[in-house]
Amino acid sequence: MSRTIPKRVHVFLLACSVTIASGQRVNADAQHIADFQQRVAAYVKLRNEAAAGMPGQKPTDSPGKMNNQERELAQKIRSLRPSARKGDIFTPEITAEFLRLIRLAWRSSDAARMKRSLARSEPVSITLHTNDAYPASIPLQSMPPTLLENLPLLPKELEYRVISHNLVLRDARANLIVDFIEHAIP
Amino acid sequence: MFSVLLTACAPPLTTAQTQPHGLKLQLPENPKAVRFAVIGDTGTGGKEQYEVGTLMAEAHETFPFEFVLMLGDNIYGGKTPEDFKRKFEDPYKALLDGGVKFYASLGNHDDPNERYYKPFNMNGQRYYTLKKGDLEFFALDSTYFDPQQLEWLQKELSSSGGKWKICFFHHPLYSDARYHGPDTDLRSRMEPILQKYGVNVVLSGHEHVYERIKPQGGIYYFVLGNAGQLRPHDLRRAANIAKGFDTDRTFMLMEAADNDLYFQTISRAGETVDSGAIQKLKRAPY
Repeated sequence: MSRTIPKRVHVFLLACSVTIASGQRVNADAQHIADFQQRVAAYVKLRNEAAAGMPGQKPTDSPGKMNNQERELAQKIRSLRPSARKGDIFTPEITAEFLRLIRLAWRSSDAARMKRSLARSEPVSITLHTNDAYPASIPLQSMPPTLLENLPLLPKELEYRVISHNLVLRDARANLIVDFIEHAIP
Repeated sequence: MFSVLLTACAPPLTTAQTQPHGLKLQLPENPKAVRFAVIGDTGTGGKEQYEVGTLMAEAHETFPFEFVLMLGDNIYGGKTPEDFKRKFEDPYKALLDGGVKFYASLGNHDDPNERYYKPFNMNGQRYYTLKKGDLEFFALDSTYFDPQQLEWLQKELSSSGGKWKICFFHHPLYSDARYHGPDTDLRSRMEPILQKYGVNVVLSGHEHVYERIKPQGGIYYFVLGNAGQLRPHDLRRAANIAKGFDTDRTFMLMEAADNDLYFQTISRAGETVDSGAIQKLKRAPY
């Protein structure tokens, strides 16, 4: 079975080819992504510590139990990162790298489709705070697959979401806003 | 490639069985067939959702479908236990009590954690497969179609032995409704894989209308996002549509055996708005 090269690799190669003359720039970009992945790994470690004392997540007939587990996990995570703030994961350097990747994607031939997808994804506007829950009654915007391909891969515990023009890192199981970049999406 | 025998305006395939609401079933009722129902964008808790649920239960008395596919937006708004009761458990109580299983996919109005709600039979997964007889179903999460899910889908489709491969997920790849329209970014990523691995039918919701799209690349696309919600008069006249309905809620019944798949789309008033048969023919390898 043949495999096409994922789009994100195309973008990454494009990024490298644009800056290949400056070896330092390529290394810096890769370093920022590596830093991002380390910070994400640190969050996941903390999160798994929070989940350690809880019963394993299993399907249940009880929506109340489901909601309670979500809230309990979120509270435990908050207690382990009480002073978490915006920029703990998306540092200024990592933010700059993400903005560069997003702008590259926005200049690609897929840009028009991504914009349409976002425009039709029932955009919402909420005030974002690190460690907050995403409001249950407000729908999540769906993510254009091409945009996901152009961003660094995440572990299964986390997901990217676009909320208005902001890029949010969200803990899906805990329904927690882990960090975010404002005005990330053109 | 498929041929479709349209019978919406033709005599029914079997002797029509008339039920209390005047519901006339037009399916072969082959005892060997896999039978199921399809609903989308249901979770309003509104009167209309309940009426469709009642009609489905009535249909089930004569056409005992085994399970129901849910195309997302299963619970709108809040997600308290009362919401689950009012927007899912009560409207479909007769079916649930009768042992009919519901298999859900996630929509943009759903909390991804609904995958842990046992009656949705997602087994904690955002995307999963389901085998019933010769049919293999692939429930996808179109709200978050990331590279990992794409890779999973490729792997599952390539190894599937299902005679019928049916994908169901929330966002339509093809639609002539005005409000959202098709998700062309999702289409660009998903459609090549669906075609490559011989998917036969795609079921989606999100648009609050009913549409049967003309085959695209050998795949039959249905949009049924109006089993609870409705956006009246939202359909455009367009070349892609084989049949559309946007003035009331609907649900769909399907049965498949061997190389034939039959469908009947029924409105809240109990009228057949679309029906037909899809015959599975030999396809050249991709």
